Amino acid sequence: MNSPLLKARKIEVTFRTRRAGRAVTVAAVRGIDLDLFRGQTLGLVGESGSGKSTLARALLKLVPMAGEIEIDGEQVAHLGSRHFRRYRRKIQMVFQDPYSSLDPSMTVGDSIAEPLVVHARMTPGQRAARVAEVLRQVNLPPEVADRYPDEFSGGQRQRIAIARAIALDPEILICDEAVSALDISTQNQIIHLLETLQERSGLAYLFISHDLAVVRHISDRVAVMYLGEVIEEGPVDRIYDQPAHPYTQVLLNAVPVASPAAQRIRSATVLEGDVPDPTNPPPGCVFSGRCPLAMPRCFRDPPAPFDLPTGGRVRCHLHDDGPRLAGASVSALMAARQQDRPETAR
Amino acid sequence: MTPSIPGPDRTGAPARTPRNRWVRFARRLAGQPLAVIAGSALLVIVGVLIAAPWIAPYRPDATNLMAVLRPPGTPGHLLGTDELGRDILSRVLVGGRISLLAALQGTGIALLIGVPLGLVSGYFGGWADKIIMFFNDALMSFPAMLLAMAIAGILTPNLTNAMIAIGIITAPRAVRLVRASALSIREETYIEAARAIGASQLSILTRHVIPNILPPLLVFAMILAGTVMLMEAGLSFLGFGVQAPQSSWGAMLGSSLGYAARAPWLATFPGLCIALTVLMLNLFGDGLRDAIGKKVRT
Repeated sequence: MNSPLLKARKIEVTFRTRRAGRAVTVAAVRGIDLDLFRGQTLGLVGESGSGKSTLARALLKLVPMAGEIEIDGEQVAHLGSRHFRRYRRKIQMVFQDPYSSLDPSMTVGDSIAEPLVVHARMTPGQRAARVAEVLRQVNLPPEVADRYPDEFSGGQRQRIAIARAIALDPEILICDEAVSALDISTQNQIIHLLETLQERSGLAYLFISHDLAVVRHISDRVAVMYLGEVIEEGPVDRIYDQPAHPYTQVLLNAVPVASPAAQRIRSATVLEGDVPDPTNPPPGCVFSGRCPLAMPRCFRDPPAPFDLPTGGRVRCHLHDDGPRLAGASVSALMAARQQDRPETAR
Repeated sequence: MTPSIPGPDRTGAPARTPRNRWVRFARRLAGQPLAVIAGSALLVIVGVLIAAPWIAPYRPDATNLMAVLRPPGTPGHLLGTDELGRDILSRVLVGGRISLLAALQGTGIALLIGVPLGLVSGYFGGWADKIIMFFNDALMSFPAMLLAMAIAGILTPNLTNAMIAIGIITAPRAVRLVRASALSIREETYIEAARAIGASQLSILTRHVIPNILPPLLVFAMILAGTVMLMEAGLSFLGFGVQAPQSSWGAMLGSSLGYAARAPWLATFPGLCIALTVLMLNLFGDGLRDAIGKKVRT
């Protein structure tokens, strides 16, 4: 494959907060590597609090971060805000809540034109023309530019937010739960719009969502996050059909299947316990405390990324600790484990 | 997941809502009878006071020792005369101009001091916030009138200095309001979106924060103007404000003190004017606040 448009290495984000009067550090994102390719979509899934949105904000340098970011082959992570600014036009973001991501005191046209004001030397006439053009691209009539955001529905506002994000012709669009706040039919429209835009201009998406069905539909590759780490990453069909990490399997199990027969056959592993305290992550594998297949080693050594023959990488000792799997799949192993312990099976 | 995607919707916004949000704001305001009455009354009061020198029947400082302390209803002197035979109607009209000017001055100074400090405090936070809020709280813990008298007394007693004093002591209220608004606006996604675009702090402040603080600030300014007018009356009553021969409603109250028993109308009319104007300012301010608060998200 050609070189990535965005290459992120060892991204770390830590926050300092106070808890019960004591200063603690929360490691929200812990050493993440990501590659985004032109015209492709990387889906990012994980439960709430796994650090998905924080990672997105780190890539835009909206939160203090450490690590390396390469955009179009240029190192940008170390740049100060003044110098980083010119890379911002290449990487734009669509936020979750279309009700608070547009300034209520600005007309839609002014909101869309704001990135043009910041980055492009344009006359007001050129800006108005560009605003009309991007509004047409998101299937809204150009006349809406004179209106205020509170006159629009959630789906329309999200179109406006997308119009604003593509006004500068970026190369990368980060969609942070961009369809999660919308109802299903509106979601479909927005996803369709995102796909059309990608076909037309070769945009790369980082598509963050907790909705596994949407992610499967739109993504080329998928990364699964847990407690600030990417625990598995790979081509979308491989992730969904042959998950290599027990956590991925559990996540997929949580999605109901339309057929009752299929639903009954699936291993009904339910997670016990909560996500570990991010101020005090476990010493070994981040998932060890809740993993139904955990081995003694999992509690001691953090697993290193392991390249899978089926595509992608996984951080799990099942794969690098000798013949644990012995040709079996993680899902088969987990189903077998379920049968050994019938008291927890449904 | 198979995509079952309907075609793009081309439904524009509902056509009936007016475009400009200020127009819609005005409509919501018009829906409140009390606010409409108060607003119209304020317009009338301001109009009459501006026109005062031309509509006043006498010069406010024209004395007539042949007709002192005449009661209201005296032919030629509708509201009576004071201890020097000056026409009270004329004095109320012209004195009101001073009171109005004072309210504008005091409010303006309070906002001029309070808004920038509140913005820095609320939007940037950190050490600046701590320092500003320390002095703010300290200033607010003093009895306001006492402090105003002290400041006006240190400066030479005249109207402008009294208004500077009032501006300084009411500025902390503006700081608090602006700080609280800026604090909540700072957390809005559209601020983060502006940062993601690469907008500078200054442009975020001027393009996003200030326009969104403006509506509550307008309400606050109305109510503050009423408070300032009362304070001016208090200071002028005590002699720290406007100096003779000029007069404001408060100063008229002050000079009527010696005749309260013999000629109560000396105090009644300027007092009524103050009460009425302040009441209207407050009612109108409340109406503005409701018109803003009713903004529903569709």
